[in-house]
Amino acid sequence: MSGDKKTRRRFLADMLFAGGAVTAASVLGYLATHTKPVPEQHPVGAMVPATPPPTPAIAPTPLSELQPDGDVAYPRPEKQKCETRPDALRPAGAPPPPPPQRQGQSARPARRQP
Amino acid sequence: MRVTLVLTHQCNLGCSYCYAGEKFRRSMPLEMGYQGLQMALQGPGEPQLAFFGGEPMLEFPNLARVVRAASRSPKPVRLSVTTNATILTERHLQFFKRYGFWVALSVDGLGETHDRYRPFVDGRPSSDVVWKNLEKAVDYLDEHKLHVLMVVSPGTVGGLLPAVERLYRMGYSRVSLLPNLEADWPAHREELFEAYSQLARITYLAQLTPEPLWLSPFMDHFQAPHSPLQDTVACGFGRTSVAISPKGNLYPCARLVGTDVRQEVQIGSLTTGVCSTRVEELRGHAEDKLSSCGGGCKCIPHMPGKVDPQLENHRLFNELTEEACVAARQSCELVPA
Repeated sequence: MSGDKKTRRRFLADMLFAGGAVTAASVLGYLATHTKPVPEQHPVGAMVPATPPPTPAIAPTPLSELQPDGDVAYPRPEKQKCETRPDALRPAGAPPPPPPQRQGQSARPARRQP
Repeated sequence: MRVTLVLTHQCNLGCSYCYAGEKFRRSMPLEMGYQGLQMALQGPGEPQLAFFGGEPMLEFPNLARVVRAASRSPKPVRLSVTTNATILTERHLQFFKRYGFWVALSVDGLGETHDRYRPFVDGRPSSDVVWKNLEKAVDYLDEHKLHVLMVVSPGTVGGLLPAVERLYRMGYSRVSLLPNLEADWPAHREELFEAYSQLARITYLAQLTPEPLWLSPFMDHFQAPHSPLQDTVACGFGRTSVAISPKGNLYPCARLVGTDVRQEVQIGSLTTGVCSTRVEELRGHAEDKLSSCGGGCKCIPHMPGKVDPQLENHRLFNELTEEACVAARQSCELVPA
């Protein structure tokens, strides 16, 4: 067995054999978080696609940080686009996401007038 | 045609539940091994040759000769061996690798759990040797050609989870849990359900990962059409598979050979060939008996000893596995966004 495979097995075994709190959602979320490439940084003024606020990140320690049953549904790793309005997925109490920006428009919020 | 050669009745382990019965020195003459190979080549379907015992590795020189003959045959022969994993040197593993063997290895648990049921014939523990060899085997051989067999007894249920975890960490992907049907299971139902629920859940979740765990019997319930276990569970029982005893008697399955004295489960000999009428009688009887307990291995109604309690246990395992899988699926299922 290759070193990579051993590491992967160890990593997955820590998660799979952790006990009752692990769900399919948390496994998929965990895998997605650890396999997704780092998202591109959009330069100021560039068109930013309308995306929902990011799913709360799962900490890298599989045993302690996996989400318990039923709380949060994490995106499947293969899904890249969100077809739902961003506001619809906003966690309760979170501030609304910034509106989609047009080309040439500053990414910074407009300064409030006195 | 799948032909299983029971190379010997001899074994170096003294497993308390062994269905093969009393061990004694009788080995299959080499000539019979070659005849078995011819049967495999001339019979229907893909030629398959399986080596079984007793402990087949005690007869490695003859095994190797038959395999070399098989490698020179006009058709490719699928080769497999079921071993207790106590006699596996690097030379053996290289041999298996070279000839593309499918290797089934038996272990019942970690340390004392394993030793309680599978000591050497002189009473010494075997777990250290077995686990070291399991480690070696997974380093040498393709993991998809390795299959671990675990007999589940009341005394091993509590140790199943850590043993499966260790196997998974080592790199094994295919594990089958085989119930010891002669045990008093109704008294251990709760404990068994607890262990099976956890294992069903892990099996389900592992399918979502890049390193799935093909743990039987749970995989059958999670609809995996391409499960690598499917190849091994298909049972020809006398029609497309036969077992040959060291004396040359034919049985529909190696599990029924025992000490080779039960004529009621024999289906012929190398001299007479397979009696198809007898095969259909045995199949019919097995299907009748199994119809009330959810199907399963056709050997169960033909095993020695009291069959009814074994069928009851078989039904209990089927029910319990189903319940555990339903519970696992419900508790693990994705929550809709």
